Amino acid sequence: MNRFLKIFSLTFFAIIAFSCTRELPLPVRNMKIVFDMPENFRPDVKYANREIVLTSNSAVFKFTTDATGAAIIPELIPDEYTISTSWKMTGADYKSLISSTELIEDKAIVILKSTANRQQIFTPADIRLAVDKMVQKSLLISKVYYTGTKDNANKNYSVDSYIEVFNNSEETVFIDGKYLALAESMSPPAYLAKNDPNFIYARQICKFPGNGTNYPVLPGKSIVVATKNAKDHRTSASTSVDLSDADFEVKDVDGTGNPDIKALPIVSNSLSIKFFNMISSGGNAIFLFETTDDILLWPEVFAPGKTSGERFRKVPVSVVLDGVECLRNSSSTGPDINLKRFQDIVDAGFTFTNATSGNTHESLERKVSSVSEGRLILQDINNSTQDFVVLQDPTPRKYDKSGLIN
Amino acid sequence: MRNTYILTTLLLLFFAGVAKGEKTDSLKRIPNLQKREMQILHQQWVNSDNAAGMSLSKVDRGSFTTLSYYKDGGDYHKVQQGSKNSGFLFKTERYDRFNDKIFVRGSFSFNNNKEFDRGWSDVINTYNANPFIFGSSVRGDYEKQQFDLNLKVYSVTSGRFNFGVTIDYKVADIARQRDPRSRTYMLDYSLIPSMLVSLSDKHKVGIDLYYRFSKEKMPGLNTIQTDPNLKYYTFSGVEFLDGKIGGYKGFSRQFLSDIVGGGLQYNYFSNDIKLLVSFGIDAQWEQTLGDKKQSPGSYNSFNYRLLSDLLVKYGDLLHNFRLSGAIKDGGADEFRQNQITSRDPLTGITTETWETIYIYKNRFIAKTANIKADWRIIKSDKSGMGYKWIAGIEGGYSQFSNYHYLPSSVYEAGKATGGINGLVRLLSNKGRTLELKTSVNAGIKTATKLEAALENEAVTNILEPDIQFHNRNTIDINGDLRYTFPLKLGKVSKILGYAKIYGGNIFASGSKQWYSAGLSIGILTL
Repeated sequence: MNRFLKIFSLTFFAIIAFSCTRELPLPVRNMKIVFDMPENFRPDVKYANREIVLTSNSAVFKFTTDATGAAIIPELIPDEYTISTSWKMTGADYKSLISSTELIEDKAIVILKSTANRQQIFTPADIRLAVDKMVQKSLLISKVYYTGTKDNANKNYSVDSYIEVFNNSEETVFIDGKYLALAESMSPPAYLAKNDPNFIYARQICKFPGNGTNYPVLPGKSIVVATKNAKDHRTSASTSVDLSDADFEVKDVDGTGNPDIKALPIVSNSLSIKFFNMISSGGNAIFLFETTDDILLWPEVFAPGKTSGERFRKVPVSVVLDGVECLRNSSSTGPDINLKRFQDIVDAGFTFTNATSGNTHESLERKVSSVSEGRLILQDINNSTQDFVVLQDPTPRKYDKSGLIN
Repeated sequence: MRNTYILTTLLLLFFAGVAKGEKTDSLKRIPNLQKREMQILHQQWVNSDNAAGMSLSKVDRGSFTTLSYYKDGGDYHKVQQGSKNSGFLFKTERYDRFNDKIFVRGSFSFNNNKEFDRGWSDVINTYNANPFIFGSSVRGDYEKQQFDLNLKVYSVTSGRFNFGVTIDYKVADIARQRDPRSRTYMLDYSLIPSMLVSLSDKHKVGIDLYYRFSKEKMPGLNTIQTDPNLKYYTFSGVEFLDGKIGGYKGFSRQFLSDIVGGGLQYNYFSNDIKLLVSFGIDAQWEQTLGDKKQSPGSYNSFNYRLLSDLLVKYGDLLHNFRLSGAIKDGGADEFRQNQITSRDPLTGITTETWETIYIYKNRFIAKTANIKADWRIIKSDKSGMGYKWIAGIEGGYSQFSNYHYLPSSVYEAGKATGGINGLVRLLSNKGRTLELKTSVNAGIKTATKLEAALENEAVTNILEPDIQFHNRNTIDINGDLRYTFPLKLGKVSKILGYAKIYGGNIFASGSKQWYSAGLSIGILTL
């Protein structure tokens, strides 16, 4: 009995001793998050002195990177965190930090950012994150509609095409004097991007009117260019669009069309037609550029090996603000990337409609990236494959379509 | 209507007891309640978990049954408590024997309580326990029904040994009467085998082993709530809570506890002096489970209990010194979990499970300590079986501390109490007695602390008002008047009738108060 009592007593004391030494939860100490700059930055440029935000379900913590581009975290509650950071700079600043040349306006906004979702930080293991670059050009081509549709008699209807240009910056931009152009789209192709890295060969170039302060585009707003006919096309084709309130209509200054809509004249044209000749089946490379040069002094060339026919204006790549490569789709092979007219510096990707011959009221539309203080910011990673989606709702100026929200 | 049924059932039970007592005891004397109370006072072992020692001081065979209606309320209460309670309490306790060697004490109680205007907690154990509780900020009324069955079986001495066992079985449910309508069920049972060893005629030691299972379960909530902004809250300790709009939809949770432990006792037993010292300890492991076995964490606690009861007979005075204390050391591990969804490619059946990816050891810790000492002097009457008066003095201290780590929060409070109490027999004539009992207690707050890492709804709406509650000093005055009388039902009646009214009030600083009052009737049969 005495032995039993001794064992029982010892067990009691063991339980007491155990209960008095509770292991407390410990923070993660002295961990490091290192940020790697994009490859095109100079090696001496680091992600230094930037704020890093770690967000869990229950808390938000902020740290600052040191001169080497690393955030040293002395103490952190173990948890799953979303790590986010961004560095906003002007296009001019950006160009001063990179080791290569890049087509970016000085007043464009460049955002370097890095995000890691649900990063498990339970032990002090270092984390290495890549910093991505996002350019918020001031003017972007945000919607391109060229497929046309079927009219109310089920006939092909292809006069309702339009292009929308969006101000993605936080400042008002004037469209005055800028150019909207269509690259050549010959078959077989005349000038492919891979054959000439420095020039785009334009079939048609339109110049926006104004003396510099006449046609503002407000931040987060857009202008619509009716490329053929600025009217309410829904009266003829119910699935079409209303372009009666377009901002511009491609036509001669004294040409016919909607008299209420400002003319956007074609100033360089390899064709005799007076409208923007987007093809409803695709193969439309559209770009926006700005220059102080007299573009009519830029050389015009025939297709290689030809001495007659269309003559294409050589537009230097260096003046391009934005471009969208809309390739033709093929039912058997899909779009052919070899037919790209735009260099990667203009559009690193391409986009295309599902239709192979048009009349499907499909539009190519740029995704919405975020909303900042009520202002829409569209996605622009200079890759239309990522930046654009195909929608069967070609309504202009509408950005709350379900497919546009990332 | 349900309450009417319950009350009717209790009254039937009550009168069945009367009839049974009358039939059984028609040839015996009228039972004496004071005598029974004195016998229970001498049966010190009934206060411990060890039933084996109860045969050292026997209590006469008989049943004491009461039915009470009570009411309490006021503005001196914590946020997660209601501002008013009312209800019925039915209790019956019987001492009996199976044969000459095995005795039994059984008790049963049923409590039907309505708690008014309660918020922020839909669970039974709100304080200093598992922190993963839940509730709505919308205050509502709660109906509680609890059944408690307790059985202590004990043997006479055989050689040097006595054996005993205690079985306790409780079930309860709490139903909220306002959207979102939660309903929580509780099951709690325990089994405590025990043994007593007589080292000599005067020195005895005891041992008991303790197993208890406890389960509190809230199935999915019922609601017709259409308020799009109504939140439901889940807590994880001190001020840490998560309020989700519409969070009551599909919410369910249960607490499952295993508790093991034991106790050691020492008893000095002589004609004039009786001392019982009992020390008990138990360890609790509690799981917290939600939908699809999701778990916010687990809870464990170590509980220590000390009881010292000394009876000294000095002439016609009986001195009773009692010291009791309890310490709880609780801790909760918090889990960080991810939901894993897998789909069987053959059957198309989707399975969802929760995977624990990290455990925060003891992220929440709750410690409580309570100690109470009292000294009563009981003046025996001429018969030696009852008492003329009782005078007592008591003091105590209670304290709790809640800690949350990562980030650190502290919430703690303590209170020292002291007071006097007394009972006087006003009338004793032909089996009729009238007693007046009063007590006055003062409560003085000691150190209170609230250091919250966050500023959120829990701090504003719960902790800050509660810390004001703990900061108040109190005076607690109570009195009851008890009347016992021979009850005549039929030609020959040997039943003692019982009636009591009581009332009291806690006066807290800041003009807060909490009243209590009640009426109780009962019978004592042999």
